[in-house]
Amino acid sequence: MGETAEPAVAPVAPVARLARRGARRWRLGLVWLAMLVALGAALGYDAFASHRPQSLDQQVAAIANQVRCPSCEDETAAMSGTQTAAAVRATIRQRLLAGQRQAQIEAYLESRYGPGILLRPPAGGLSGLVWVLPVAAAVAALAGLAVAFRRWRPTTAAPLNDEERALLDQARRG
Amino acid sequence: MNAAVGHSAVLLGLVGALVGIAVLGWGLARGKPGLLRAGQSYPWLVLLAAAAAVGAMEHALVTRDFSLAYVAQNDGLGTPLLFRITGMWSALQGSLLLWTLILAGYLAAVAWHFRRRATDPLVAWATLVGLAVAAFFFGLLLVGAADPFRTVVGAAPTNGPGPNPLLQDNPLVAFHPPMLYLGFVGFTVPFMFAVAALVTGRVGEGWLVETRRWTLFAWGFLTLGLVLGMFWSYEVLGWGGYWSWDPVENAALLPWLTGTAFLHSVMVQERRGMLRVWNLSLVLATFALTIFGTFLTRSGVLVSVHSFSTSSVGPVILAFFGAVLLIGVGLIVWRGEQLRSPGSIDSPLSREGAFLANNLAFGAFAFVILLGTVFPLLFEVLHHATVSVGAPYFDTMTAPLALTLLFLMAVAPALPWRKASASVLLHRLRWPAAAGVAAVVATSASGLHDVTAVAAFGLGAVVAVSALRQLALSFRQRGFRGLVGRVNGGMVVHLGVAIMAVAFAASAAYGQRGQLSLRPGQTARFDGHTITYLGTRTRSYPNRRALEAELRLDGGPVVSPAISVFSFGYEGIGTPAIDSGLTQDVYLTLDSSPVGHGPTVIGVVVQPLIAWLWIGGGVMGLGAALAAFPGRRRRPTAPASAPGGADALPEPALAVTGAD
Repeated sequence: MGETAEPAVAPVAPVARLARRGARRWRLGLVWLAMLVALGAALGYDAFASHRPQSLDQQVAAIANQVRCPSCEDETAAMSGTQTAAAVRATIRQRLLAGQRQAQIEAYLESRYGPGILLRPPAGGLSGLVWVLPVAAAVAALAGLAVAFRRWRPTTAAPLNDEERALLDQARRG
Repeated sequence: MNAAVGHSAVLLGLVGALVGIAVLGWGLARGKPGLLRAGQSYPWLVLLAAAAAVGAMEHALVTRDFSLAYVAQNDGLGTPLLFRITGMWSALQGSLLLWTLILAGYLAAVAWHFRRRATDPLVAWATLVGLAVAAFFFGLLLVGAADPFRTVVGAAPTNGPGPNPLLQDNPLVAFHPPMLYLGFVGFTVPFMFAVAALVTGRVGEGWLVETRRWTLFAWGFLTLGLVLGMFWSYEVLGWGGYWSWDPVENAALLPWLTGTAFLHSVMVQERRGMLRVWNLSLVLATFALTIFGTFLTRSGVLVSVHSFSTSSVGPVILAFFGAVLLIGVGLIVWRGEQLRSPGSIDSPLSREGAFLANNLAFGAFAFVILLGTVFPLLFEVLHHATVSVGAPYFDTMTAPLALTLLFLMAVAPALPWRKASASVLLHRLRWPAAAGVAAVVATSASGLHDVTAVAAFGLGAVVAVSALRQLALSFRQRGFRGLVGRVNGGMVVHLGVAIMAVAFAASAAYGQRGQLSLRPGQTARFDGHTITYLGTRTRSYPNRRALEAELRLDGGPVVSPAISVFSFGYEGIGTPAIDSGLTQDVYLTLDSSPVGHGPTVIGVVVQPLIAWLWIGGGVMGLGAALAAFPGRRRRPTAPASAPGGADALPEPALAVTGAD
């Protein structure tokens, strides 16, 4: 191993070294604590601030994002510049203004254009599988990994004898 | 003439591949080194055949030999030369020809690279497998619907429609498909060696080391191909987006996901001798998924912007896909006993633990995308009803996985092998974490509150600084040599991913889109920009007529989104005008042309940081190149970093090559 990447600790008396290391740990701990607090505050504020009521345009876009553009391949009604997509957006806007909720508007669009119009598969029935299967697979994989780690439980290594310790010290001194 | 040359070349390729298989098989069965050496010349024959076939096709396209059905359908008198040349991969039959040429090129490159080891059974078996794949593709080119050299019935037409308008609108079509194919087809090489390792029983780390750079090469091109595909989608399709979770995009992403997982888990096997079955499975899955993607694109089972016309090659490709899976899984099961490894992972909080988590996340990512892509098909078969699985599903399901992967990328470079202690980790991650917190606080303070996007910005900053820290440590030790090799090149790739992640999150969360209805001379404001509509004009090109809207953006120069009409009754396609900058893109489209004296509808999309997607993609490509660059040789018995109290030891800048 060539030069050390980070400044090596100068040879000092063990007690002083321990004390210094202790102080450093404290400082490091405080830095991390401060960072966590700042992070928590910022994310908390974000979560609070992002719950402001949406404008009508935003509500239209949010619903249109879930709807296929009737005349295109693989584009949402929110993204497409075609007239059919504009018509879907206009329908959504009218119905929002008339006080309808998202579920009602989606049900209307489905009755008008067929079940394939909604890009988000329904969570109920057979199509619910598309939501459940990945979660189930992930849980199974995590469980499998947990079992594997349990099986791999580290065998405690025998303590070093004097000769090995001397070799190790030599290696550390580089 | 072209048809005769082309047909003979394809036939020569098929026969050459089959004879090569027979020669190698005989040599392996009888242990005859002479035959094995002779077998290594067949990849060259196959390459010659593929090149001749491609030459015949290009000659036919450039000289407009309309007696070939393919040329009659994909070429025209008005088609510019560039798009006549790229016409070869503008439709199903020709694109299979390109695939075959690239495959033959890889096979010949492997034969050249291993020319001094021709008698090694591992190399012989790998070549045999490669030739078998080549034989399949040459055979496919002879199947009616996939035959590029079929001649028209009756008199040859005097003109043709040219390629699909979307494929003759932008020169990117010359780069995106070849890059993507270099990626897809490149994964054949690790697959060949994986099968060879299983057959010969040499299932140790040898085959991994042999194919490391090949895999990286394929991965790098697949990455560039995908990013170019996003760029093409953004530049050409006129919807202002770059990724629509289209089934064919998904099919191209799948092998990238499993391939990326493999590039990581391979390090655990090289280092600890573990995960052999897993790595073989990933190689198998990656190759199988490239074939599956071919099936999805070419069988006509799915409708998408990419899919070639319906054809009967679907079942043939599906059968090949099934055979690949069956043989691969069968071989792994057969070698099961030998694949057991005695190793174990001491602690989840270690480099290898992070790689396992990475693989889990990539596996889940691939599973979600595979399921979402084929689900509508399965649903229709099982339930006789229609269901759409689109962007909302994929966004919802992949966002947590993407954030998990970013988190792992942020932490893993600081983790030592074997076991990390909390204090080491807190020490090494203090600067990356500080950058992340600063990014979150700054975004939040500037009034952007989308939680997913803010999380992506924060994690992106941690990933970037974590990668830079590793590069700086390595640079301090070795100078510029410290920037090459797998780990450091990998860190450059991570940097590119961080850049792209931030750009993805920013453009997804803070994009604005709208439509403006304008009459000539009118000005509208949209998201801080002023757009003045000056009028329309018509321009003629050899292959199309374009109606261009003249718009003045922010008082600057005139930009002109257009609608182009190609001859032969293709539907008009839009060409956006994009004002691209480092902070923001303004994307203008002509959504509907004026009717009489009515207004014109202009689409406007304003998205931040789009340019950084392309920059990040470039950085990823650069990182892959650096990673493939020969670094210092590692001693095969490099011991892992010390377990436990690693804080007392200086940190090796290059964790994988710690013993150097």
